[in-house]
Amino acid sequence: MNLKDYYDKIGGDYDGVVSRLLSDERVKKYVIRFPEDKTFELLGASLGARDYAEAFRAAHTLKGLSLNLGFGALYSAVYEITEALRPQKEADGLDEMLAKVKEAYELTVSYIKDID
Amino acid sequence: MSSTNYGGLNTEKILIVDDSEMNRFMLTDMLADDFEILQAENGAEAITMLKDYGTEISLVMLDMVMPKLDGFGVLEFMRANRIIETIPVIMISVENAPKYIERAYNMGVSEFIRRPFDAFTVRKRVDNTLKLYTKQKKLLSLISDQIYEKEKSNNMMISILSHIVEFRNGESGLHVMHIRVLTELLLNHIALKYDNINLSRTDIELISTCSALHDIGKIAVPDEILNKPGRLTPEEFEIMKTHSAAGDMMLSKLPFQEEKLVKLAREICRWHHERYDGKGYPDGLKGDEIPLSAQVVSIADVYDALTSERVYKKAFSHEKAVEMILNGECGTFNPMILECLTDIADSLPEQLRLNASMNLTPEKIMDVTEETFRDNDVSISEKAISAGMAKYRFLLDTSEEALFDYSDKPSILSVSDKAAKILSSDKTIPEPKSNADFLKIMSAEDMETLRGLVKITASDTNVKYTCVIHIDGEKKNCNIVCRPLRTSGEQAELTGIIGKFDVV
Repeated sequence: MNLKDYYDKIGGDYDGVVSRLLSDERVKKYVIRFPEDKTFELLGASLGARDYAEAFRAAHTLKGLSLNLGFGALYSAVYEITEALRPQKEADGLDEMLAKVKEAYELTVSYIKDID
Repeated sequence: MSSTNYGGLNTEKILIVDDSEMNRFMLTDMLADDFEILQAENGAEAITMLKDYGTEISLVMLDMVMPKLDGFGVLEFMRANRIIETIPVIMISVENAPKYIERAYNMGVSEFIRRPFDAFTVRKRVDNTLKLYTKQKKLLSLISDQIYEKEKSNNMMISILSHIVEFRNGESGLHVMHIRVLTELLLNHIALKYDNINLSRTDIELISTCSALHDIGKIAVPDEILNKPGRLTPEEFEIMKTHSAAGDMMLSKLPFQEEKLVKLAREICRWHHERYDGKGYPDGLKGDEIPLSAQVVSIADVYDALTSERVYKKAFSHEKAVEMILNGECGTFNPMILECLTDIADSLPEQLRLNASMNLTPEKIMDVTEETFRDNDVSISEKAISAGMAKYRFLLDTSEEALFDYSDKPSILSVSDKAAKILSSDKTIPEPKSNADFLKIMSAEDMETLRGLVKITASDTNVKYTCVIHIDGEKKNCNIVCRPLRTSGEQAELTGIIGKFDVV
């Protein structure tokens, strides 16, 4: 599938990202690298370890990344948990929020291999 | 930490500080064609890089939220060390609340880029910021060159003038040089020692320059008296004494009386033979009625006269000359200046020898230029950083010893390569007293005790401290030798600690 199809599949903003990064090639180069980024794993692990400061930083980073790469669905999910984690302590509903992030993250990553 | 360079040899270096590898990758990709990219994963690493590379780094791209030390911590370090004035910072963050942006700008960032950033904006902001800073640096060096040239010819004119006077007097030109250097050394020390005396670098430069003119009145003294081979009779001495007022008179006929240089030169000519107890000439001024400029030049004049040979006397040794001045054998001087003379006495002969030949160095001009800029609220401290940082880097890079330095505000501990290896720690440790990793090595109590000890120790004195530290969980004895770093001035505050250690 082409890059536009990919962005449509994952609820992303193709026009926005291409206008920012100026070419399909550059967007592709970044997107293909995205699965290697360990921020999502760090978010899960630090929440598991109840390290809320680290979890906030990870969420914050992931929020910035998804915004920059135009991953709309992932951004919305991460936005929610970032704000919940901002006080850097335990909060209600973190598990559900993490589940939403996980779902959006997996959707975003799963189709990357199909981009041609 | 890593470095990527797709550009040529002389490309400018940009330091990208971001905890996300993906972010560093994107920014590097956007910039690496034209810049050499250095990367740091967090604020602590960024500080290590800033210390290692100093002003070789042309620009910093800084993330806000990071582990170990966040973007604001890096900014605080850059401000405390005045690096922010030389290395511009562009902050990038997804935080778009005005309070964060405002804080970033207040801490000295040049630009703030909000996420999602676009390739075009990143590139343009980087280019513009670099252009602005480069222009500023160029202007600064242009201005200092001009000031240097101007000062050089000014000084040369004054030297020529005073040499003419000296030659007629049968003295070598060294007298003028010596007085200039002595005056400057004394004034520097006064400025350092007494906060209540307002002496800027510019003042000191001016007074030292004018000191060369102190004896120009001697051209009004007849040859037979001026060059008499032997002691003067009381009548002749009275004529000789007219030279101070005569110098002032001559200068009073100049058109530019409002110039500070002329005012200072007149004070110095007229009153460099006044004495603190009112027993000098021509006006018998007392105490601080005598301007500081003239007071300092008169001590310098006496010192140089004592240590020089005259037809009627041999040269006294440096020690003897200082002793005679302090004992009041050449009249009474301001106790404050005498104290300064005592303080700097030991280094005087060497300083005179070194400085007489090169009393106007480009470094000095840079100081004056910087001060001018500072007064006009455009502070530039390139020299301060490049010299200080370069020395520091050299020490840390080449020393085979385990060195450390700790700064209080912001609280950051930096250690040499060797020390980091011994402790198996990072080279930069922010907030050591609350840093979980570092607390595993040294206890907070030991850190507090050591700091307390150093705080009450005089500058230039070593503190020795032995404590138990843990390296990879193993207990070791650590011998620390260190000394305090303080602000100058009377209410000197502890600003940090520098030292070395070994582990047994």
